[in-house]
Amino acid sequence: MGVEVLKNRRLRIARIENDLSQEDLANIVGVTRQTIGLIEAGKYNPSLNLCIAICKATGKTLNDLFWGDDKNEEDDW
Amino acid sequence: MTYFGGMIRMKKMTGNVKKDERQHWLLTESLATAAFVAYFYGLILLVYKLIMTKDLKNVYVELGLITIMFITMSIHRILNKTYDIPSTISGKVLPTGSSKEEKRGRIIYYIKDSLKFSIIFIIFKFMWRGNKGFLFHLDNIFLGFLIEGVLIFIVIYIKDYLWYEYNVRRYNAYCESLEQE
Repeated sequence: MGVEVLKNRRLRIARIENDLSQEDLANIVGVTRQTIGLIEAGKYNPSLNLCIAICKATGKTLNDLFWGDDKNEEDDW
Repeated sequence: MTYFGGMIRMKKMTGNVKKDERQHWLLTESLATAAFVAYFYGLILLVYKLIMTKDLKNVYVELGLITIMFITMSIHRILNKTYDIPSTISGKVLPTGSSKEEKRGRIIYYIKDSLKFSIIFIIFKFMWRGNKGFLFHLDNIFLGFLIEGVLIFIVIYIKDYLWYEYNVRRYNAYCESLEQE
């Protein structure tokens, strides 16, 4: 599964802001609900293509969703 | 920085230094392709030998190889929490919800799958054993084929229904647990 990643709360928030369920977002970007769940839980490291597709679906930028903010991310642990 | 946060960052850093991700991906992909080809080659060889020699003893090696590969893949799937969810030939996963419409969609899939399997099984059986039945023998060949086909269809349908619905339930429970994290 590659390197472990931190929980992606920003993705979860962006998804909810867009009124999308995990399944809705999964259908839009062409993956399974499990994959979206794993990304949000920080258990799967998505490819750049998938990151871009998620950004387009949620109307966010890569910086908004996937650029690490060390201070905030550390609070998750 | 907490202990776990530090460990993860350390892993990230060392992971990037030790291996080139493109080469790692290529290696994984080529190994998976080789395994896929070997699996189907073994399967075709098994069927061919069985039809030509009509003796199960001649295919023990192929049967063993396919079984070992199947078990290995299954273990890998279990460890990675990959559930056997019904999907189309193109790989699109069918809806896993519990609404009537979604359930109906899955049931249609089970019927199609059972029908395909029954037809393939009957053709294969005819090539292997001719008019002789597996379970019983009837003088009316057509009736014999039809009854065996229907029986196989029912068995596969029940297997598909129980197995896939069990996996769908586990899959949904796992997705729910991820969402709660």
